[in-house]
Amino acid sequence: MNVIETRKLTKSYGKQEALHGVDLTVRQGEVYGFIGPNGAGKSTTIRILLGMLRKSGGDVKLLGGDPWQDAVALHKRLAYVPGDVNLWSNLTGGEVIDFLGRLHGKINPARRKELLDRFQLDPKKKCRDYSKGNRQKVALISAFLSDAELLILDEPTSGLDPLMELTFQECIFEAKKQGKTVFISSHILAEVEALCDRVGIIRQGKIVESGTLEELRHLTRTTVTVELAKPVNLDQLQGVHDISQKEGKWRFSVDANAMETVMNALAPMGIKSLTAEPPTLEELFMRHYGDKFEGKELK
Amino acid sequence: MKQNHFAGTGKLLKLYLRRDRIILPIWILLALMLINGQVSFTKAMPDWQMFINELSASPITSAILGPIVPLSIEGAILWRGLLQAIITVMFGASLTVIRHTRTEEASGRNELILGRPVGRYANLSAALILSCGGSLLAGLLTAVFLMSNGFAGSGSLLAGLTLAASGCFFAGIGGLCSQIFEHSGSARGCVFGVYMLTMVAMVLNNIGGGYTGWAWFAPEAWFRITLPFGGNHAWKLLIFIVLSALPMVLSYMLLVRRDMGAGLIVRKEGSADAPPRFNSPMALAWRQQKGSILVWAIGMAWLGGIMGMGTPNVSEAISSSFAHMDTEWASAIVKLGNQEGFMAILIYMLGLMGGLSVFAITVVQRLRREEKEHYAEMVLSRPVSCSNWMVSYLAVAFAGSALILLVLGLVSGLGWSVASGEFSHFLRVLGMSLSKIPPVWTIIGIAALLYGWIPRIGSILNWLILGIFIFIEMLWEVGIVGWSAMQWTYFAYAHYSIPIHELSIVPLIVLTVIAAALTWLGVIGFKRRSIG
Repeated sequence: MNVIETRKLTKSYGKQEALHGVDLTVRQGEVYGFIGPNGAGKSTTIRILLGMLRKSGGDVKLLGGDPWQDAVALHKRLAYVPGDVNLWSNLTGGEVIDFLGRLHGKINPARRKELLDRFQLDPKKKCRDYSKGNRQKVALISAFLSDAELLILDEPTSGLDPLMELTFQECIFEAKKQGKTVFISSHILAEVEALCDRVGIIRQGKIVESGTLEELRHLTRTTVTVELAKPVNLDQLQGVHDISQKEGKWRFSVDANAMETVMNALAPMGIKSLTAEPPTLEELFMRHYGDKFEGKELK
Repeated sequence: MKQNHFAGTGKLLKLYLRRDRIILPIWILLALMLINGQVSFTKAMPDWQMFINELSASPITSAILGPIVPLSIEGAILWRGLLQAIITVMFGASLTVIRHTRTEEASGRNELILGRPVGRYANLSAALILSCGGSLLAGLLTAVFLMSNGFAGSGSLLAGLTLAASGCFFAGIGGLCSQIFEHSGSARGCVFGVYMLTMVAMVLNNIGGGYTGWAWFAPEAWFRITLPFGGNHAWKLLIFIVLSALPMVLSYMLLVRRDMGAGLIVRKEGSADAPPRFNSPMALAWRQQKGSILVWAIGMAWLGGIMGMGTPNVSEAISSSFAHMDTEWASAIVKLGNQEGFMAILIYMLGLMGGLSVFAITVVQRLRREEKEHYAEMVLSRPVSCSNWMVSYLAVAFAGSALILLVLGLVSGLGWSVASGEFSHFLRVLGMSLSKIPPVWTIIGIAALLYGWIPRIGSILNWLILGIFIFIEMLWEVGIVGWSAMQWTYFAYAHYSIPIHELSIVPLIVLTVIAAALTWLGVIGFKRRSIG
C-alpha cells in the first residue's frame, strides 16, 4: 500500500505557481528522501500533505485519506517535525513534549526519559532559551515518542550537531524496524544517502527524478579513472564525457548504458589500473541543479 | 575611550529610520490628527464659548478630563486634543525604543550588529535619539499646526514643546523597561503599567482641581504645569528635560551592568513535566492567556478601586447651565447625577470603549500570532481540528473578558460603597460592569470573523472598526449625531447614559447571539482557508 500518493499535485499563490504537478509515491515501511534546494516546493508539498494548505489541483492521498478533509483522523496516525521549529517561549521543553504527546494520547514515560537522555535535552529550560538545535530536539523527541505509523520530517536535522545527527539516524532506523514509514525532506545529501531507501528530487515545483539510489545511479554517469599502457583516442567513443588527463591517468565519465562498449574498447589498451566511482547523490543532484539557468531559458 | 561606546550610533540611527519609515510617521501624524480633530470640533461648534463654560463647570468632566485651562478655545483644544496627542506620542516614543532595543536583542538580530565595530551604547542611543527626535518633530508640527490655525505663537510653541517633553520622558521609560525585562512583551507591559500609574496621578490631579503636585507624575498632564496660552511657564520645560534624562541615564547605567540578552530579572528554570491537565488546545490557550488576563484584572481592579474610592469626592452640584444644554449627553448626565454618572462613564471607558475592547481585540489577534509564528502548526499537525484550536482560544477570550469585567465591577463597586458608606451602590456598579459582557463578546465575535476570513488585513480592520465606533461616540457626545447613529455600534446597548436599572435585557441577549453567530462564521472561514 502506498502511504503517500500524489498525482499532478499543483499549488499556486495567485499567479505564482509553487508546485507544477508533483507526483510522489511513498510505500509503506520505507524511508523516503525528498530532496531539493530551498524554494523548490518541499515545504509546500509537506504542508499540503498535512492539510494546512489547500491544493490547487491534482490528487493527493495520505494513508488512504484526503489530507484536507480527514485531517484530524489522519493526524492521529502521523507525527510531524517542521523545518523551523518555533515553540511557545514561555513553556519548557518538557511541557511541550508532554502537551504535544497528550494531544495524541498517552505518553510512555520510560520512552520519554530514554529519548531525553539520548538527545541530551534539558527539559526544564524555557523554549525561548533553547538554541535552534535544541528546539529541533524537542520536536524530534515528540515525534519519536508517538506511536504514529508515519513520520513526516521537514529538514529535521538542519540545526543538529554531528553527534545528535547520529542519534537521529539511529531513531530513524528503529522506526523503520518497527515498520513505520518515514518521509524526510532534506538538502543534506549525505544524510539522505545514509537513511533513505528511495529518493525523489524536486526542482521548481516538479519531481524531476525518483527511485532507489541504485536506480538513480543507473541513470547517470560513472566516473572512471584509468591508467593505460597504450595511447588511446577516447573522443571517438560514444557515451564518454568530461575527459581529462593528469599524470598519465585518464579521467572521464561514462553513461551507464555505454559502460560495456567503453570497457571493451579499453581492455586491449593494456589497463594498468582502473577505478570506477559510482555517482554520489550530490552528483545526481547537481546534474539537475548544476545547470541552474537551463530551466529558466526553456520557459 | 569613552566615546567608543557610542561608535556606530549614526549608522544605526539610519537603519532605524529606514525600518521605521512607516511606523514613525504614523504615530507622529496620529498625534497631529487628534489635535486637528479637536480643533475642527471646537471650531465647528457655533456656541463653543457656552459649551466650554458648561463643560468646565461640570464636576464630572473635570474629574475625568480635568478642568479646561485656560477657559478659551485654545484651552478646549489642549484639554482633550493635546491630551490625546501626548498619550499617543508617549506610547509611540516608548514602544519605538523597545522595538529597537529589547526586541532586537531578544530576537538575536542585535548580535549581527554588535559583532561589528559598534559601541555598547550605540543601540540604545540611536533608539533614544529616534524616539526623542520623533517626539520633537511631533511637537514642532503641533506648534506649526496650531499657529497656522491662528493661535498665539508662544502658546503654540510651548504646547508643542510640552508634548515633545512628555514623549522624551516616555522614551526614557521605554529604555528603562527594556533594560529590566528580558522579553519585549514584558517591557511593553511595563510601559503600559507605568502609564496606568500616571493615569491615576492625572485623575487625582483633576479631581483635586487641576493644579496639584500630582501633575508632575503624569506626563500626559504636563501641559497643566507649563500652561500654554495661559501662564506660559516655559522655564518649567527645563525641569521636564532633567526629569526625562533620569530614566535615560538609568538605562545606560543598567545597560553596562547586564549581559547581552539578559534582563535584570533572573530567568527561572521551569518544570520538566507538564501538569496532567495540560493536555488540550483549551489548556494551552488558557496557559498562554492567563497572564494577560491576570494583569488586566489587576489593572482594572487598581483603576476601578481608586476611582471608586474617589467617587464621593465628585461634587453632586449640577451647574445651572448644564441642565440647559441641549445635547442628549448632557441630559443623560443630569438624569444620572454626577457621582453615578462618573462611575457609569468610568465603567464604560474601562469596561468597554477604551479597556476591554482593546483586550478583546488583542486576545483574538493572539490567534494570528500563533499562526504566524508557526506555533499553530505544531498543534494542528496533531489530531486537533482547526475549529477546536480556534474555539479554544476564543473561549478563553470570552471567559477572560467576563472575568475581568466581574473584577472591575466588584472592586469599583466596593470602592465607591466603602468610601461613601452606602452599600446600595455596590450592586448597581456590578450590574454596570456585567452589562458590558455582551458588547465585549460582540467585539470578540467581529475579531473572530475577520481572523477567520481575512487574517492579513483583519487586525488593521479590527482597530479601524473600533476607531470608527469611538468616533461615533465622540460625535454623539457633542450632539453632532443622534442616538440612532450610536445604535449602529455595540456601545449603545450597555451605554453609560442609560441608568442601569433601565437597561433593557433583550438587546443584550441579541448581542450575545450575534457574537455567537459571528464567531461561528469566523470558524467556518478559518476551516476553509490555508494555515500560515
